[in-house]
Amino acid sequence: MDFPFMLQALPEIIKAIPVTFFMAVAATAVGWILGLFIALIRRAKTPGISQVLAVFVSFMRGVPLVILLYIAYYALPTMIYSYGLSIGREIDVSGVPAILYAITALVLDQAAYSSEIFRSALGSVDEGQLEAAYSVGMTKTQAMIRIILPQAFAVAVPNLGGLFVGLVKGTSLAYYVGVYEITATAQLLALPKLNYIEAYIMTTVIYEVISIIFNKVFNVAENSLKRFRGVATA
Amino acid sequence: MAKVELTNIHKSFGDNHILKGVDMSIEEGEVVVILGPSGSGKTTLLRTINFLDAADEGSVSVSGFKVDCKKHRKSEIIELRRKTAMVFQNYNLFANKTILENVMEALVTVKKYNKKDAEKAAIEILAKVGLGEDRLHFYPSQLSGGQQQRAGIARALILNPDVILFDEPTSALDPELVGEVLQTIKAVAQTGITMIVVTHEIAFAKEVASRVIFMEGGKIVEQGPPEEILVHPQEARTKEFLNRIINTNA
Ligand SMILES: Nc1ncnc2c1ncn2[C@@H]1O[C@H](COP(=O)(O)OP(=O)(O)OP(=O)(O)O)[C@@H](O)[C@H]1O
Ligand SMILES: [Mg+2]
Repeated sequence: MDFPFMLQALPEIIKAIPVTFFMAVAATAVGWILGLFIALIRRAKTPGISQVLAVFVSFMRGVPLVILLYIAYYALPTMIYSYGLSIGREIDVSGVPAILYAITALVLDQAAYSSEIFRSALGSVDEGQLEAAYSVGMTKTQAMIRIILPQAFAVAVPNLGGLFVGLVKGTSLAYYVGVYEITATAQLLALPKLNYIEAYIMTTVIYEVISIIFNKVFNVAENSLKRFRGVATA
Repeated sequence: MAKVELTNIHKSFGDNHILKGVDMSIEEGEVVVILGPSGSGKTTLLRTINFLDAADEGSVSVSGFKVDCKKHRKSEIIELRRKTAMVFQNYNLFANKTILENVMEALVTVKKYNKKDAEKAAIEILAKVGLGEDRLHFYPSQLSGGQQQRAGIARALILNPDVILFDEPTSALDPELVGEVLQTIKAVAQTGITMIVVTHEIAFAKEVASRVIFMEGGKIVEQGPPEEILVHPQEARTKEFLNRIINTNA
């Protein structure tokens, strides 16, 4: 073990944690909102669009995240560039930072997976409560926001927690498209003296600590929502 | 003017013709009990009144506000629902809200009351259905079926509706809890509010109903005051049905 290396590298790796978090939080914020809408549209069985979304979700669940990242990184700029040409404009795609492509891929991934979680959570809330809300004159939006969604979220929280922790680990793949998050930074620092073992130990510990913290956070959220879950999941 | 007026209500689910032209005219303050065998369309009829199921044909009018079932606007349905309230067989209380919040909910979101006033009104109504201060902050899952249904009745009452629709309000209850809920419904009836009640409780119908309607196969077979329909029914089908429930109840 090269302890001096570890002491020297650790602060550098820790400095990369915000990059990892930024990707995870951005992908979650956008991806889960999209996921919720996908779930609502699919549950409403809007003809046409719900089939399209079903295909999208099933495709996304089948494709490995690395491939998705490569597609976003290599194919997306070409597509945007040629789209630009088709409308008679030359768009400079080289200026777009790699992290944006990585986030795009992660957003799509999160949208698909979270939509499945939301779909089953929405399905677990008894239809009768929606009808009761209508019967007292509430609009669909009021009923969703005040009655159905809070219960669906309570049911979804444990699975969303798992999805988020998985995503934090998934961000390490952004290393393949040149984003200097935790893994890539450790890899880079290890290179000169081939301190790979030390680098991997440190990254593992960091991911473990992050996981433990977020599992705890989601557990607390889950418990505080439990008071009415007994009925919501029945 | 009739409080509730249904004309020529037809409803199908797919190829299944469930309601086959129902007409009904209910005056203010009437308590109408609807009886009929399982599958005769009683629940469906109640649900077409507040458009939880829109009828395919006919019209619904409550307090003179008339909606054509074939071509109705969303805003009309909301308006109609604000004039009616419903008490469900399975209570359908909002599981994420306390009893107090359940009852306040429509006042706050639909009628835009401020929280203080809504809370005061809700506490008053809950006391009337026998749910005191000690139960206000319980979640539905923490209450007995009878308590839940009484909260359901309070939730319906608080909107001061023109008519309350009850769909078998006691049939999901343990037998020993049926009495307290029927007692509550009876007290509500005595306030003079117009009610339509689907129930198999014959004794309750005899005592509380101003009119009994017997339905079968999606049509009204016979109707009249309870002593006529329940004691001296004219139609063979009504007699047969009454014999059957009196025998199973005994
Ligand atoms: N949403 C629906 N989709 C398809 N069929 C339905 C639907 N709702 C009711 N039905 C059918 O309509 C018929 C009448 O049902 P309804 O619930 O109105 O009967 P009911 O008189 O209330 O019976 P019960 O005494 O058992 O409650 C039944 O055959 C039922 O299967
Ligand atoms: Mg029924």
